[in-house]
Formats: sequence, C-alpha cells, structure tokens
Amino acid sequence: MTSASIRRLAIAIVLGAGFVALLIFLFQPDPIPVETALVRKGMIRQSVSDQGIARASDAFVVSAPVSGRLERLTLKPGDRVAAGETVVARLRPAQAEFLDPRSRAQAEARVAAAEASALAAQSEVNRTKAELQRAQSNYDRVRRLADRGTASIDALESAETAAKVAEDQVSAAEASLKARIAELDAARAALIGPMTTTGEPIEILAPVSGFIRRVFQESERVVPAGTSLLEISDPHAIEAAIDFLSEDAVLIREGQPAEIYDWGGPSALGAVVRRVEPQGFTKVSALGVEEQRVTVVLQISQPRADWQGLGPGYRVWGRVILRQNEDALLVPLGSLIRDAGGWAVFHVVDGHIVLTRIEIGAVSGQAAEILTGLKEGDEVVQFPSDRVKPGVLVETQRSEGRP
Amino acid sequence: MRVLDIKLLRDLWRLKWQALAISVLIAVGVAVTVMAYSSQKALSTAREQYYRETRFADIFATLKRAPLSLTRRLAAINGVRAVDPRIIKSGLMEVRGQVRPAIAQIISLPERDEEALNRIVLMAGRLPDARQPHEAVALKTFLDATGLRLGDEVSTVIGGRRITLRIVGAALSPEYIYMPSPGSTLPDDKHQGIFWMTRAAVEEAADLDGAFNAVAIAITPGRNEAAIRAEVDATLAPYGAGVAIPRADQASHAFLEAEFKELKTSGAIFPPIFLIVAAGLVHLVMSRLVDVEREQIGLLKAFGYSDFEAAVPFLRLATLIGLGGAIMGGALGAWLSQGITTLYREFMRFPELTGDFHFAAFAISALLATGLTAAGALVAVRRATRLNPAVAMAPPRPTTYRAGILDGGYFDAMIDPLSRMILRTLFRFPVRSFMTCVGLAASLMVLLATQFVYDSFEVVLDHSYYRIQRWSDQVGLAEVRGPSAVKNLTQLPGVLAAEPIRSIPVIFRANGIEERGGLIGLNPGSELYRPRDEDGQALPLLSDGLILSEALASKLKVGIGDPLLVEVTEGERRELVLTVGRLSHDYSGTPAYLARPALNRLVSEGDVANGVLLLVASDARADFYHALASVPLVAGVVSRDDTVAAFRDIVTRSFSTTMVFYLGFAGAIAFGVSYNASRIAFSERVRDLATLEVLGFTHAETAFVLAGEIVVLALAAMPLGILGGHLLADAIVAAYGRDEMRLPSGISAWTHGVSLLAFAVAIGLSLIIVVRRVFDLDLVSVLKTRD
Amino acid sequence: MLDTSTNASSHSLPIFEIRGLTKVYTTEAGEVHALRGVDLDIVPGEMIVLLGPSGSGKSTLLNILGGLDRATSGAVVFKGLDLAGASDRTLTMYRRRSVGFIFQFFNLTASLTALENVRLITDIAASPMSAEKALTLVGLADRMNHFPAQLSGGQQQRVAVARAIAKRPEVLFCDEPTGSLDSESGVQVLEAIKIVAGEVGATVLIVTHNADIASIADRVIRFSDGRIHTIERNTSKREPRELSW
Repeated sequence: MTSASIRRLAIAIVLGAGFVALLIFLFQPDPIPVETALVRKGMIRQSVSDQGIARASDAFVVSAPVSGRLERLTLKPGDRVAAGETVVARLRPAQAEFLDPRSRAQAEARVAAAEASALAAQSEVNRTKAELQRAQSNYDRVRRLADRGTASIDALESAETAAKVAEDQVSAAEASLKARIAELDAARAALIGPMTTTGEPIEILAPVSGFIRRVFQESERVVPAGTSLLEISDPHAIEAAIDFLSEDAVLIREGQPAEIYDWGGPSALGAVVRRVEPQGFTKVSALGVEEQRVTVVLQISQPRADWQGLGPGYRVWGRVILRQNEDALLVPLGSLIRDAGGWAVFHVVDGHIVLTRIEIGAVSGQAAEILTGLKEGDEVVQFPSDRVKPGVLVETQRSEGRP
Repeated sequence: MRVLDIKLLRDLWRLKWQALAISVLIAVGVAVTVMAYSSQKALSTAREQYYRETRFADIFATLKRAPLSLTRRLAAINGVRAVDPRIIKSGLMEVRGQVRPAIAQIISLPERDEEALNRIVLMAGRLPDARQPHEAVALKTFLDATGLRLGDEVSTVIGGRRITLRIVGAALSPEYIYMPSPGSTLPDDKHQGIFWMTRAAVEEAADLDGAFNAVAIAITPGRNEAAIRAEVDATLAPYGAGVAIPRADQASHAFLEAEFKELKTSGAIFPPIFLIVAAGLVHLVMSRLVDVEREQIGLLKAFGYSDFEAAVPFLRLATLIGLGGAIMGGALGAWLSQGITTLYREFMRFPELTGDFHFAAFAISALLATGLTAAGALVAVRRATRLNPAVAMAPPRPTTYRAGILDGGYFDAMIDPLSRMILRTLFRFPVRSFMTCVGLAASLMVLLATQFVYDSFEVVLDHSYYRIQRWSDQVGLAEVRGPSAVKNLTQLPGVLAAEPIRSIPVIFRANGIEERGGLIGLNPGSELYRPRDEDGQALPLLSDGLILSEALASKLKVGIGDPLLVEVTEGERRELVLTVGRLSHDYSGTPAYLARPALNRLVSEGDVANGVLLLVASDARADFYHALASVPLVAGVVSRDDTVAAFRDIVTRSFSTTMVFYLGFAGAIAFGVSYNASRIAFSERVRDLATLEVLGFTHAETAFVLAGEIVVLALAAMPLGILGGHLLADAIVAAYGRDEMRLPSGISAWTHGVSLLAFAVAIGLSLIIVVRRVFDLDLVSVLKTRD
Repeated sequence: MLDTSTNASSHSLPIFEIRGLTKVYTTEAGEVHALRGVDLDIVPGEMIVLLGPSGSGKSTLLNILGGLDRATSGAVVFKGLDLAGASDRTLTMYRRRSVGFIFQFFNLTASLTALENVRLITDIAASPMSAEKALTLVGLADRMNHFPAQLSGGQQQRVAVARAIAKRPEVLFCDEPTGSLDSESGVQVLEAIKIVAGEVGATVLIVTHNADIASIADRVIRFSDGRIHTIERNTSKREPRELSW
C-alpha cells in the first residue's frame, strides 16, 4: 500500500470515528432540569388550626335582686361601666310580701347556692394566687439562669408568659369572686321581709368594670326577682373559642402553646390552651359535610394593648402548636414522595438521583422534619416531574425561598 | 417519431432506479400536500354537516334561574331564529374501576324536538322515557372510555343529592365534539360524563321546576351577532346570568377551530417545503440526466431532427417520471390522510368522519412537480440543442481545471492525486456542488425540524405542570366559599398541603382589542402555583398590578405599566381598571394573575375561594378521591399526574405514526439526492473512472473518487442542514405562536443524533448501490466507446 | 487552387460552390483558425477524399458542408441554397432532406436495434427506402434485430452507413469512417459506402488521414493548415476490396 493510500485510509478512519463519536455524544441522555432545595436546620411547628370566635370569658349578668318595677334601662350595649360606680338599673321594689314557705325555702336555697358559689370563687382565687406565686418564682429562677447564660431565650419567654397568664388568671378569679359576692347579697336581700320604705328605687350598681354587652330588659316593666337585666363583660377577659374537628382535638392538651391569627391585626397573637371541652357536637361544614367538632378555649397571653381592636363575637382562627422543634432538620413539603408505604425523597448525589427513604417527624404546612435518612446540606428535588427516577442524570437549579 | 418512443421507453427502463428515485422525491412532495389538505377537507366537511344536522347554536348563556316564560322574550329579539332553554347541573360521580371521580353533568332534553338546538345524535339505545324518571342518555365517548354499557346504573351526587341514573342510550353531541378536560388541552373521556335526561327529571334534580338555567340560541345568518348577544345579556342579566358567549368561544368549537387552524398552518408550512425541495432536486437531477444525453441530441440534430423534435422525447421522459411520481404521491397521500383521519377520529367525535381526497391539492401539486421536472429536462435539452450538432457530438473537451485555492505548497504534498481529483471536481462545478450540498442539507433540515416538536412538548410539559403549577390535584367548588372550605379539604385523607384559589371569568379590553379569559387569584407566596418570568424566576403576586401572560399581553398590545380594562362577567358585572405589573412566560393559555385578597376586594367579597390547590400523597389518592366524591359542594377535581400521563400517551402515539412518515420522507430526500448525484457523476465520468482502473488503481480507490465527492458534500451539508433545521424550527414556533399552545424553540441533542444518523444511513445506502457499479465496471467496453 | 477540370460526367452544375470559406474557433487556449479561405466546387456523383493530418481543417470543412457547423466568413452554396447565411430551420431541413452522415465512432443509439437505428432516420424522411432494404444493401439483413453492443465495430459502422443512406440523401459525408476499424472491416465499410452511394446516386465526401483510402476516390483533396494544398484527380480508381493497410 502506498503512503498515499495509507493516509487516505487513515483520514477515512478518523472521519468515521469522529462521526461515530459525535453520534455517541449526541445520544447521551440529556440531564433533566430539576429544582432542588437543601436540607437545612430550622424551626418547625406542627399544629392544628381551625376557625372560631372571640368571646368574653366571663360575662356578668346583672339580675333583679327583688321583684319590682324596673325603670327603663338607659344604658346600651357598648357603654362603659365602672365597678361600684355606674348605676346600671333602677328598680322600685314591689311591696315585699311575706314569703310563703315555698318561696321562702326557694329564697333560702338561692342564698345557700350563692354562698357556695362565692366559696368556690374564693377557693379559685386562692388557687390562682398560689399558681401565680409558683409561676413568678419559676420566672425569677429562669431569669437568673438566663442572666448566667444557662437558660435559652425561649425558656425565659415561656416562663414570663406563664407568669403573665397566672396573673391574668388571678384577676379573673378575683373578678369572679366579686360577682359571686354581689349575687350572694342579692340573694340575701330577697329574704328580707316587708320593707317600710315608700318604694324608693333601688339603684343597682355595676358589679364589675367593663362594657355592657347585652341588655335583656330595656323597657319599663314589672320584673320578678332574679330576672336577668343586662350582661357586662370584662374587656380584659376575652378568650377564643375554636371549634376543632374531634380528630384534631384529641391531640390538644391544656397548657399547649397556641396562636390566634387572621383576626384582622398585624400579627398572630400568642396564646395558651386553657380548656378542651369534654363534649363534642355535630356541625355541617362549609362544603356541606357533617362533622364532629369540639370547642377548645384559648387564652391570649399577650398584653391587651396588642389586640385592642379585637372584640367579642369577632371571627378568629386559632392554631394549637402540638410539636415544636427549634433545631430540626427540614425539607420542603414539595420534596416528599411516597415509596412502598413510607416517605422518601429524590436525593441528588453527584448529579444523579438516588431514592432515599426517610422518616419524618413534625409536619407543617411548608416543611417536614427529617428524623432519619438525610443530613444537613443534602440536596433534594422539589416537586419532581414524572421523568425523575432513580439513577437519572439531572441538572439542578436551586430554588429560592424556605423550607 | 415512433422509434424515438421506443428509445424513450428503453431509456426509461435503463434509468429505472434513477427515475424511481426522482419519482419518489416527487411523490413525497405531492403526498404531503395531499395528506394535509385532504385531512383538512375531511374534518371540515364532517363538521359542517354535523353542525347543520344538529342545529348547533350560535349563542350560549348560563344563568342562575329564570322562568320558562322568559323564552318568549328571548325569541322576540330581532334576529333570533330559535331559542332552546335547558337545565344543566353538575356534580361528581364515582365510576367503578376508576380512582378519581368523574364529573357528571346532566342536561335536560327539550320537550319539543322542532325547537331543539344542539340536537344529540343517538348512536345506540333509545331516548329516555318520560314515565321513567331516572333514565338517561349518556355521552358515547364516556361510555366507551369507562366500559359502562346500556342498562348500567350510575350514582352521582348533584346539588347535595344522590341521584341514580340508568343508561338507556348512547349519543354524540355537537357541544361535546372535543372536550378538553379542565387543566389540560386533552380530552379525558373517562372523567367527563354528560347525561341527557327528560326535562321533568332534571327539573327535579336541580330544583328548577318551570325554569331554566342555560339557554342556546340560533340566529338568522347575516345578522349582527354581537348586537343580538348584547340584547340577550340585557334580557338575562336580572336572572344571575354571566355574559353570553358566541359559538366561537364555546369550548368544544373553540378547540376544534384551534385544531383546524393548526392543521391549516402545518398544511401551509410543510407541503410547500417538501414540494419545493423535491421539485428543486428533481430539476437538478433531470438536467444532469439530460446533459449526459448531449451526444444523442447532437446526433438527432445531425440527422435533421429539429430542436423541438429532439427535445420532445426528453420532455416525455420527464413528464412520465413526474406523472408517475405524482400518482404515487397522490395514492400515498390519500392513504396517509386516511391514517391521520383515523387518528383524529379518536379526538373528534363526529358521528361520521370519513376520509376525503382533496383533488385540487393533488392536481396543483402534481402539476407543479411535473412541470418542474419537465422544466428541468427542458433547460438541459435547450442547452444541448443550442449547441452545434458537431460540438454536441464531440467528446467533451477535458474540463478546464485551473490551479485553485487548494493547490500549491503545503496542500500539494498533503493531498494525494485521487483526493485532489475529488476536490477539483467539486470546485470546478461550484454551482452543481453547491446545489447538491443544499439538497442534502435540505433533507437534514427537514429531519431536524419535524422532530424538534417532541423536544418542545417535553419542555412545555415540564414547565407547565411541574414548574408553574406544582399542585398534584385541583378541586373546583360549585360556589365560592370561605377559608373553612379550604380547611375542610385539608382534612381529607392524604392531603399534605392546600391553598385556596379564586378564579373569575372576565373580558380583557385594551387598545380596542377584546379577549375573553380568566383572572386567577392566588395566595401571595403560594408554593403550589408560581407564575414565572422568562428566566424561570418565580414572580411575586402583588396586590396592585396584574401578572399577565406574555401571550395575552401581546394580543392586547399592552406592556408593563399599561392600564387594562377588565370586565367581570359573572355575578355583579363590573368593570375594573387594572395595571399590568409583570409579564409571565408560559406555553399554553393566556392566564392573568392577581393576589387573591386583592381580587376578592376588587369584587367586594371577603376571603373566599372557588377552588383549592392540593398536594396529595401519591399512595393515598384513592382514599382522597373516594372521600371527595361525597363532598356535595365539590364540582370537579383535576389530577396533574393523570393529565401528564394522558399527554404523554397521546404524544407518544402520535409521535410513532408521524415520525415514521417524516423520517421516511426526509430519508427519501437524502437518498434521492445523493443517489442521483453520484449515479450521474458515475455516468458522466465513467471513462475517467475506468481509466483509473486501467492505470492500476484498485476498485476501492476508484470508488473512493466517486464516493468521496458525495461524502465531502455531505460533510459540508451537515452544518448547513443543522443551521437550516434550527431556523425552520424557529419559523414553525413563530407560525404556531398565536395558538393556544406555544412551543419553545430548541432542539435536543438526541434529536440531532437521530437526524444525523438517518442522514448518514440514507447517504451510505445510496453510495453502496452506486459503488457496486464501480466494482462491476467492464473496462473494455467502457473505454472502447470513445476517443 | 481552383481546378476547373471536371470529370467526364460532369456537365452538370456543381452541387457545392465554396468561396473563401474561413472558420475561426475561440477556445480557452486562444483563437484557432481551422479554415483559412477555401475555394472549391463539388460535382454531383463525385466521390471525394479529403486527406490531411489532424487539425488541418478537413473535418471542419465537412461539418460546415454538412450543415453541422457555420462558417465564420465566406460562401457555401448547395444547389443554389446559401448555407452560410441560412437559418437554423433551413439547415435542419437541409440536413433532413439532403445529407447523410457517417462518423468515426459510429454514434449509434445503444438502446435501439440496428433496424430501429435506421428507422430513426426513415421516420422523418420524405421518401426513404425501407430500413430493411438499407440494411440489406450493406449486407446486414441477418442482423437487423441486433443491438449495437452485439455487433462488431465494422458491423456497427455498416449500420451507420445504412442509416445514413436510408433517406436517399444527395450527399453522403463520412468523417474517418474507418478510423476505428481494422483493415478488413474498414474495407467492408468502404464497399458498403460505394454500393449505397451508387444505389441512390449520392455525392460522397470522405475525410480521412489514411492515404491508402484515397485511391478509391474520384478526386483527392489534400489539406494542410486550414487550406487546400492540392487537388488531384485519380486516374486509376481502385475498388475498396483491393485495399489493405
């Protein structure tokens, strides 16, 4: 073979090989573009939430102490009253009759009941005071630890909150006690015999400060003793009554931290679960489905100044925080997939996809806590398309935004 | 001239392979033309007929409730020919064997058939009996897809009530020829159940005795449709009506129109390309063929044949080849058109859809192709007859080769004589070489441009269903509801996340242009639905400023900062003036987005939604759907996974059919060009080649000289063809740009690979055939015939 | 040199009158003066041999006389018909009616049989002899249905002769008719030419570089460098079969 023909052959081979190489290169599977996020440490809260209503935690009903002619009530709902000062109603007592044995027995029973209530209120006051003392000393303790640096800011804030809540509870109990005492007085007054007065009107004073919430009897008329006249609510004692689905309520415990949100104000309000009603009830949902619901009462733990505008009867949403982890390993919710009955993610390793099984803990509306399977800094695919499969080559694009 | 005819036939036989190659090229061009126009004609005819027979209405309106007596007022409007009041109510229905519940829509049949519009065509069974309240005629496609049969009973939840229907008939309706399912442009027969029942039955189910909540109106042709529509709106407004829509906006018709338009576009793009390429190549090949016959022409002239008489046989030859190709093409095109029609029959439910043959398209393309073939021959014959017979018959002088750019110095040493022969030949006939190169490039171009569409689909799919919309399911509510509704849905089994969505039908107006569309209210910071800009970055939802789809913005000729008039067409009609805040980049539809709270405020409503976007765990979907089916206020559910799967299924199936066509076509072009070019080169230079062998070069080396020319041209054609393919793809993108689906340009590496491979195979095949001739050279006889 | 001497039977007018014929070609290598002024008269029924080395202009003269090419200047008149200034149409008709050609390389149509090759010409002739007769005249009656590929060189050329003569032309032009043939076949071809020319009474012009052939002609015209060098009259004509080379 001549050198020329060898050269020709060489060129032909080179060209041929080059073409084949080009084809091989072109037939390489394209990497699939995917959006990814990094596994990060952060705070996660698992909560249940539902909507409810703000209401006065205690409404005080002022009732007629004796039978008599009620003068027309001039106060309207929303009017402010001061305890012991404002006259809320005027009553010209009717000729007091001697009480017949039955009436007398009833009146006496009412007194006994009022006495019992007052006693109960008193012990509630005692209890809350004791609670306050405990919370206060706990707070002091934590504060000392915090100053030394051995307690976290979170713990400090919790203690402070708890102390404030305890304080509020004391006030509430004391107010309650006052009301019960007023009721006791009224009950006792009913036992009094005929009066020799000429029927001057009795002035009924407001037992507590607050706002008139409802007026039951507006017109002038004769009322028997015990008739509810009006309702006064203490603006400080507004709580939120949230109707949770019974399945959610099962997870709620007294004392769990909570939030009030979507109440119209700038930010969510800190709160605490005060009570989970024992009895559920049936309610038809917005979509027309029957559901079993349980009322859960949340107490707002932020100072009143923060939520001035919120009044009883306003719509609120309440969120009870079931679990909270400050330092959890988090993935965005969009990266979770199901695999053989468990959770998994598409983990990007060296540009390829690896299906990694994981166990998750708390789940919020945006992220999930990883218990096992991944470590901080791992890259996972968010919202994988149907082309993402184990082993596949991918081209990642980091997405902005949290988990 | 009888002997000349004998010569013609014998020549044709001798050139049978070349003639076939040319005919095939012509057939390809004609076939594509016939195929495109015939399918269009078939569909168009079927639709015309169907609409006519079923009295498809011109105006459609929905309202809350109006008494039947209102019909008279509507009929009295000037220009209205017929009014058909009906009741339409929908709900969900669980179908055995299906995970996701189907939408069930019941429609009342008119009591008197003469008045009826949008008549249904009964394909099996019978109409419901008035005495049997729960009998229904079902949409045939739904029955076929779900496997339900006549006599089966289905149970649906409509308006909070559970209704059982017994299917007694199967029908097709002009209102549902093509039903794009919500959220995609593909049909979802299994989940779209339409049922027609007697008026009494539907009145009862919808609680609309003596009333109607939807109406179809036919108008006298030639009347001002917009004016009539305005009057209809005015008449129906007090009854809770939205804006009446003309036929052009009716869902099924609109989609059909878009399909037709797309067919027309592809009919306008592809056939001319094929025809031009085929005709150009044919012309080239014919003229070279005739050039080889120069000597014969001279001879005939020497013996007293006139120019015309000498030319006629070649014209006859060309015409024969052309006609043969055209007829082949016509038959192929007719067959292909049948195939396309069958494909369409799956999507378009006409009672009759038969193939058709567009004779005019065939005639014109055949004429064009044959004409160009003859012209090619004629040009060459003229060249030969213009010569003096003496010159014509003389052996061609050695072609003048001059020192060219490749000569001198380095190259002389590098390139051996054989290779130099190749290169010099190419440069000596620059026009011919260029034309052959262009022809090869054209085939590569066609290969690339026809395949890139599938790459585009992939991008569109990824972008639309995984980048912008990331929810796994979307639930539609029959009425707007507050946030507790969203909460309720969150509590269904399998739901990981939920976001409310509020969409309102509106009319956009700007610069005198009007576009019907929807305004979508999303939560700011939504994770499940993220409009994106053209760089793929998510756009923030603002309270002031719409996010407008680029396509919509360009239709309305508005830009960022421009004001836009938005008319709300449901509930309380009102006109809002909004500003365009950002532009979003998407591939289908013309969405407009606003922050949901802002949207709700604009229509004076509180925190409400009429849909919920959900993330549902994939293995809990069955439970989710089952729970969803019994929620009364849910009007429908769309599953992203199902939509994507259906899309892929359609694309894959249509891919395999059309790709076979186009690969075959483009391959035929590459084969045809390279076979003819090399075959003619062989004929022209057979003496040179034989001489080479006499001088002692082997078969392989001689074949190298011949094949080398084509290989060099093919290599040069590769970048040209790739560039052309990209340009053509861009042109296709632009041409389809105005339709409902826009395609991104961009051709994947895989497509390049497949195209180049097909290209190489076609050329290689043709070279093998021609090179065989080199190996079969009978040196003695070849060399004896000439000086 | 103008030779006004004619042979015995030539009281007739010249069939060709050529005066001052020149032909110049322009090629990429420059101008070629193929003919530099030729004067000649040709008498009907003559057999003339044009002799000369290649490039001397003899083939060029043949082509011009045969209407295959045009003169650059000068006059060519065929029986009163001005060929030099004739239109293409006129030349075509001239060739169709009056001229027969035989070429060195036969130039037969490969895809037609011998018979068909002859018929190619008789189809457009006004009053031809039958193709069969033409072929019989040249002695190929038994090979009428053979394709050129199946015929020897001499046979092919004889078919060409039959083809040329079938239309009964007045002039027969032969350009190197034996150039591609061996001596024996060449003789057969020359005989065939003689016979057919005699049959139809055609004037024959033979171009050759082979001096031996010249002895069968009535006149021998020697060409050199584009001009007529000498014109000789053959006093003792020979028969083709007496030739050998």
